Amino acid sequence: MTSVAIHQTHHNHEHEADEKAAFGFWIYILTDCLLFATIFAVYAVLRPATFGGPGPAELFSLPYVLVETFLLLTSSFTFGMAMLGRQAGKPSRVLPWMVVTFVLGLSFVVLEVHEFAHLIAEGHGPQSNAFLSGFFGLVGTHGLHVSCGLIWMALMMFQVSRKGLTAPVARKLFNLSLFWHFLDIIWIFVFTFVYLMGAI
Amino acid sequence: MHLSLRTYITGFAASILLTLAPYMLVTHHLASKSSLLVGVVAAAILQLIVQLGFFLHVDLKPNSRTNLLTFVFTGIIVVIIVFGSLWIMHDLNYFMMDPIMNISH
Repeated sequence: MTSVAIHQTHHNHEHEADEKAAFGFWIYILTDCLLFATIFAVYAVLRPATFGGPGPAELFSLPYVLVETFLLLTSSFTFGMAMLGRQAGKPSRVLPWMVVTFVLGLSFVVLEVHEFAHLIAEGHGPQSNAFLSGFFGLVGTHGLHVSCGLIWMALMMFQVSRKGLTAPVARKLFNLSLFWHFLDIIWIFVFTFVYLMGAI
Repeated sequence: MHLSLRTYITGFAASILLTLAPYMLVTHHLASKSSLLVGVVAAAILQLIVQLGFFLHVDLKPNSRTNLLTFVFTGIIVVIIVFGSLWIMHDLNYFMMDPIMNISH
């Protein structure tokens, strides 16, 4: 076997390991989907139980939520740009896009926390009625996921800048991209089922 | 798997469109209540397909077939959980509140 061939098999092995790791992470994402499905179901069941209090149409501001949605959508796109940089093998094209994604994600979380704080200050906290418990449970779980994604992203930015795009770093970056796009999809459903359908 | 700028831009543009369209429909009350509901849900499902295809790169090629299959399986479970819960809870509410049933017992 020539050294080229050895290198080739080694490369294939690594590639296979990468694919296995990505598939494992994909399975995790799908189980997370099930978690969200159950809390979506809880929200849908509890949604009419406002205990005489205001419903979603009175409580939520659609333009505000549209801004949140665009922040998250754009962050999904900018993370895609970072993935293009990863494909080109250029950390210098990955890092700036990750910074942009991080800032967009952080703005989303800040807006959400502000919305929650506003609702609680107005006396519509999660303990007011079953509908609001369901709302804070669902939207809060998503927000918690985004926050974890942000911590992970900060760690990955550190790793990319320190180690460059080594195989393990590139693999983790790919998994983070799956996670980030997945959260964007979950948000689309929150936007549709909680906010838009709440306003109809 | 080869990623291209074009894929991401198409996906992004489609996502924005599929977000703005239902938003406009709802804020301007451009249709009856039931058709609004249908339109909004249809936009969300289209958006799901767009993002799966353009951002998560799930497609019908053989090497991502397992990803697609596991996803479809999860989708079935999700539908059972959500609609099953709604159905059961709706029936439960119905039977708990029906006065005739309470009298006949």
